[in-house]
Amino acid sequence: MKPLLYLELRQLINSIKNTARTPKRLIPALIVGAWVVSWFVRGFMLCLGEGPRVPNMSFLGDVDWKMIRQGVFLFMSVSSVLVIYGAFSSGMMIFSVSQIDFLFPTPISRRTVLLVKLAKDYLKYGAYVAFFYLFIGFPVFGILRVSFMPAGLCSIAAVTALLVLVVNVSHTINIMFTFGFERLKQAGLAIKAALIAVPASAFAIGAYQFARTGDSYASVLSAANSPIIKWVFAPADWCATLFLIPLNSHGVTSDDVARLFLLIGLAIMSFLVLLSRKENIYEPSLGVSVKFAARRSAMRAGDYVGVRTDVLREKGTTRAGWLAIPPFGQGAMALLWKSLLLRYRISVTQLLMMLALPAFLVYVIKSVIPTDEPLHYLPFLLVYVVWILSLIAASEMRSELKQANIIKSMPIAAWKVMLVQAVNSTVYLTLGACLFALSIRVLAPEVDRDLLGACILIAPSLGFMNVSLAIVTAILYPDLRDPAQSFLGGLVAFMLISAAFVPCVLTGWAMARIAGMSLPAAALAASAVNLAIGSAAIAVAGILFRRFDPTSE
Amino acid sequence: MLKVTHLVKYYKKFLAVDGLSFEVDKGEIVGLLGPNGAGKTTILRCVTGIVQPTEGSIEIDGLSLAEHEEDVKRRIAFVPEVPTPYEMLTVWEHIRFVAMAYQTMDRFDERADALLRRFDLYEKRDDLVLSLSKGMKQKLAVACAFIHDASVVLLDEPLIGIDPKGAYELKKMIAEAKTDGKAILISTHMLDTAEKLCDCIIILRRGTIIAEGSLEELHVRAQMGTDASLEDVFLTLTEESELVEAASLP
Repeated sequence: MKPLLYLELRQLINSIKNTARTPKRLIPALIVGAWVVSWFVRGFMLCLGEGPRVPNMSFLGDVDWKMIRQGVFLFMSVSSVLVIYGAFSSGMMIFSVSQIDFLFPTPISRRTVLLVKLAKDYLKYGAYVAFFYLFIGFPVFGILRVSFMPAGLCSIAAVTALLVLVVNVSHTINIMFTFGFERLKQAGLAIKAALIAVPASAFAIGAYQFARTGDSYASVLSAANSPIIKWVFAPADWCATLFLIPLNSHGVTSDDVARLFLLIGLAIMSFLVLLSRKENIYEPSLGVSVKFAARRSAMRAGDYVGVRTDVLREKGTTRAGWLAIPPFGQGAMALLWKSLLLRYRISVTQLLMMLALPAFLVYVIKSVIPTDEPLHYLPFLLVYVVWILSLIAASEMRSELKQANIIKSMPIAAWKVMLVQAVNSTVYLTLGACLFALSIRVLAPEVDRDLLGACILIAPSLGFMNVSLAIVTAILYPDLRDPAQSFLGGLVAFMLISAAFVPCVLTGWAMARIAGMSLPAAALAASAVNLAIGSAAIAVAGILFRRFDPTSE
Repeated sequence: MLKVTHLVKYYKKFLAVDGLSFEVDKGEIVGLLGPNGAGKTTILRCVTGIVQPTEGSIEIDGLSLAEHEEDVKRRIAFVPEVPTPYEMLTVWEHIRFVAMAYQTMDRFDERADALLRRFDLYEKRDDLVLSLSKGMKQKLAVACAFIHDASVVLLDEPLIGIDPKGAYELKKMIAEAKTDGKAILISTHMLDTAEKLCDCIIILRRGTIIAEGSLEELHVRAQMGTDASLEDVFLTLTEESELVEAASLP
């Protein structure tokens, strides 16, 4: 135990020291820390009765708690099924590659390693739950004048206990089935079939009820009240009740206390069962740990392409797939061809979704909302989507920076490399915007044509400007493995594109209102401003890229 | 002494090692050679207790790994392939952690100093591991392996990425370990190194031994003259094995 405590403690101390070592790390960490503390204090003050309040609480009586509770129960049940089902094929006990290389071969007993690992994991889960309550629970409790004690604590304890229970069960199943792959094959198939059959039976009951009565509300309730799912997923059922205690008017009853103790008892029992396993717990974790390490590294680095590539590799993709973009151009144009092709190849699923999603969104808005008024805002939604999606370009740029050694050695000017990167993202953004506009035009013809035209005219230039600015921040913060820097990089990118939007709006407004231009003409004028800002950003990005040292990251 | 008897390892349905037996005596260096996927790393992982053999036994100094895992592990020094040390420890802390894990803190400072100096890591002792180059990480892994007095040394591709001086020192350490009576098992693709270092060579293919013995014995087995290099012998024997396998297919 002592060496493990030494290891954990030294790593923690060194991480803090390392963060404090340079202003580049320390300042973002302080900003993030201050932000978290301010959230905490704000939520805490709200719970104490300070700050804004909902003046009239009578609406809580109108809330359909029964439906919300069943929704939470179904969500918890299905999530549990997914986690436990996954344990039959790949484990969730993830160790770092360092632990595989330097801890597993040591004579420290596996049980001690497992104990420390589980303790760390439980702390992590507790922190996830605490953060959920800190950022969502506390403010909601405060605004709704709901007392945090003891209902809130009961809720937190129940969610943590269910999380621990599900994770322990999945670890145990994974260990048992890794070593008893052949011996337990039939049992495994039976459990998997049951895991699918239980939610399926609830779904069948709901479907039957709907076919009989046509009442979707009653059908969902009867599906969630199906005795089989209630019995098999009793812990999720108890947890769903306890989770919502702070928001219902009954307070904590003796039944709730009993449910909580049962949940905690099950979590402890599952922990003891897991700890009693005699098999080599290292083995199931090997493959998944190495795989996870690669993906986590890509995710931390904000390397979207790396993550997608890893997903494709896991799927066993070996072929390039249909519809290739034929090669074109030389020099910078060849670079553009490569970027367009790679972008298409790694995200073909998203691109297909892009074809269907706008139409689906317009259809949903039109059929769910009874009045026509929200439809008139759809063109603004289009602009907003382009605006926000352009932030993804930063991630693509970070992936490209991994190849900086190769690209910088090519006879292509730095600003052209940056321009290619911006054009690549803008092409796909514009394609998405056009499909969105087409969906609006076809499915909601009542939308103002001039406004829609203006928005679609402005979308490419807005995308180009935002992408260019996102690229600048990506080069300024190329490596996002440090969470504080990652946060700051995202914040800076968001602030830049927010600030850059102001001249566009002002120009458009001035041209339409003061100069009396038509909306499309005003949009063209605003687009010119966007292009100018975007070009300036490309020039800056070019200078930064020329100075960029790939070996320093 | 290391004794592996009828080792079989399945990863679910995939057979990685198929009934393999061999011994490494005190003061002997055995090289595991074989193409990618031959099962070299799996064998080393089985011996270190990282993965559990499906069948067979592993013994070190007469102690069974299955029955006395902690005692057996205490007798093993292991250098993993492309090691990934803990990045948030300093070089000194890393080597200290390994010494603590093996419960070998006696004269630690002195021994750690000597190892770090030998591998040119002394100047970096207070630097975080994340600041080290790949080669330095490899040298740190070697230093960690030699911080405790093991009777069996397992090295998985130990020379990859190490600079010439580091490689020289490592080879010297391996020779010293041999003189000290340690049993040494090296998995490597570097045939010239294996030729110079190893007393016995085991050539693997798809989890089975296709040939084993001293270089002279392998020459005989491959029906080649004594002037043939290990590379020639290795290529001849693996090709022969492929042909035999192809001929046995229906």
